[in-house]
Amino acid sequence: MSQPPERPVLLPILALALIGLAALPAGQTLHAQPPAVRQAAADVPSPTSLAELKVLNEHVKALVAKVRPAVVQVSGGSGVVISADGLVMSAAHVGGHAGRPVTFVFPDGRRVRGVTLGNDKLGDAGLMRITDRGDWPHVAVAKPEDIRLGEWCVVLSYPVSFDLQQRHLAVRLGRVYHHCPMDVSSDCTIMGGDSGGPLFDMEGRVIGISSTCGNSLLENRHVSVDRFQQYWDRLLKGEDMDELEPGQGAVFGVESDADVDEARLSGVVPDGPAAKAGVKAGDVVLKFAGAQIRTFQDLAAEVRKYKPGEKVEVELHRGEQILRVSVTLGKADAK
Amino acid sequence: MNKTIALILTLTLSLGVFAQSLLAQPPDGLRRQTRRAVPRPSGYLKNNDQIKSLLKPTVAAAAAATVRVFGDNQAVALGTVVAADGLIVTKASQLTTKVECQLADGRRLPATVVGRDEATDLALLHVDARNLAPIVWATSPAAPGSLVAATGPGEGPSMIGAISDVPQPMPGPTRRGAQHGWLGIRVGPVGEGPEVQGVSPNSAAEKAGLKSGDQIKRLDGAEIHSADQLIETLSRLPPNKKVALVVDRKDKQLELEATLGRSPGHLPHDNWGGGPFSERRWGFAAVIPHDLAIAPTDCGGPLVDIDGRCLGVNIARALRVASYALPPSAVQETVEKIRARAKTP
Repeated sequence: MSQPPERPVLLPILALALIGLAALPAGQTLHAQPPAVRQAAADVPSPTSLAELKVLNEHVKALVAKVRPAVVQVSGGSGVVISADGLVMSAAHVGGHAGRPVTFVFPDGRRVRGVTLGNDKLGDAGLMRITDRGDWPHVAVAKPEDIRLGEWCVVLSYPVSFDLQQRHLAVRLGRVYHHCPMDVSSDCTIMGGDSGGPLFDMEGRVIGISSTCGNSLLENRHVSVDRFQQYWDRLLKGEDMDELEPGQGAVFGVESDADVDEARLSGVVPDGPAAKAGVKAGDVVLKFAGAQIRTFQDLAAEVRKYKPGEKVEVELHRGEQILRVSVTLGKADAK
Repeated sequence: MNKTIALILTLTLSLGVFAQSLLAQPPDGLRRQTRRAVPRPSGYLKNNDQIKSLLKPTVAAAAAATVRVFGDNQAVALGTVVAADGLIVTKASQLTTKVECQLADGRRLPATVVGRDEATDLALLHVDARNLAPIVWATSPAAPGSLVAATGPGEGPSMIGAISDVPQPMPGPTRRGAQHGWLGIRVGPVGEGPEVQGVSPNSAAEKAGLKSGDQIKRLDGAEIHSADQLIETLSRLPPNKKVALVVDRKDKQLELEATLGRSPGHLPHDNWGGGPFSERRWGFAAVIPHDLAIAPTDCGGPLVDIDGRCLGVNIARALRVASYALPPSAVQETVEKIRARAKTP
């Protein structure tokens, strides 16, 4: 079926991204080994019997009943309480900026007061806190290495509906089909109002926070817990982080038109670190400092982990060849 | 420049931090982003063939009680057999004249409309058939999170998903989104002007003769340079207006005339994509929300649980994330009401 003309699927946007401007101090990840982008084989295969599906059915019902008390409405979006003293994970575009007073509404209708903490504008991770005193219902947060491709997952949040008096807590079922340091993507369909709401794994742990969706029902992006971990201390301190923080980060010096399903470079900044190492426009980046790269976004996420002056090995695909070059990363404000 | 622009449009999901009323706040609170599509191997998805085939045996009885409903030879809805002597419920607002039902066994029979019910949007049909196996209703509602499936006529699950919430009233917005002119095309900004990339069946565009690949140059006298501009121009035109279209098709320029249709109650809610949606999709006393993306022409069929029991009849594809089913009690009461009314002269 065709889409209504109000909403073109394609927009004439030329996304020209410049890697490295958004780099942040390294060393904040809680795990020693940065998670590589995983996309090869499903870690969790599809069920092979009806009995398995029936077990899943009972499991999901019980899980939903268990985690739902911790899922809150906030600021036109959603959030999830992750500690007894009221720390809330949400999306940066729901929180807006740090220090803003907000009201949380629990599924039982209870309204409590709180405040926004830090917001990561690029990744869309945001934290908030309930300021009223209480022992709040809360859920556990998964570690990045717990996220498995093909795993069943559940979105539980407050999408808009035709009922304008109140938003209802709705369940959506799906599976994780993509995971990188920035995102988890699933076929748990999300829409307006779900922003900031949790994506749970089958252990009832938060593995992502709903952020954006595409026109396809399969295209649902959640901020991965990796991203939260990476900026945890700064988010907790109430820092608002914008993508451009000149002078702080490492620069690779490459560009992409973001129109292909791989990290193909459309341009190389003249005399930049990549150019000096012999990287050329048209090259496809396969690995950056040992981490597998699927998309330009993955590459950007990896570059952000390093400091200016650090030397990294980069694996490239050029024509029929696989090349390895050594790049000394530059400084963002030094061009 | 002949470069494929394969950017995926994504919209952020909150109506904006300060949105007070969903309808008072048009989608300017939305943030559009470009993100690359990531691979979606079907083996990772819930609706893969392997998973659906596992449910085939358990939903076979419900599939046998599912029929395809035709109006004027077009597939307009599904139907659910509610009595062995040929009584079938379907979505009333989808019906046109000359109603036929194709049963699960393949027989295609003319159907008479016994009656319609405005409140539930159900119609009761009768076909001249006996010994049909009627649907088996579940005796209790399913908890949120329960796995559910939709069936086709004689076919196992067409999709699986979950119950989203408990049965609830769906009154619908008090102020409807302004209805405006409707062409029924999908456009993209490839090449010079906006290019038609899809034409909806029975739409104003199809009747006017618009085809995929056409480049729209003028609409109602206005020069068109972009998809956004086309949409904006269209949004200012009323339904039923006759408009002139100038399109480039291959090497020729054509002049077409279209009589605009009516936008199907377009709301800010619809800016998240995932359509098309049912024209009648709100104003129900009680519905079960679930996450199956039922096509508007597949409403009227059963929603079944993992044991094959019918939890309700799908009555609307409502929003990107929501379809609604009428609970068994609502369907049974409506059938009785229509039958009683049909008996009284």
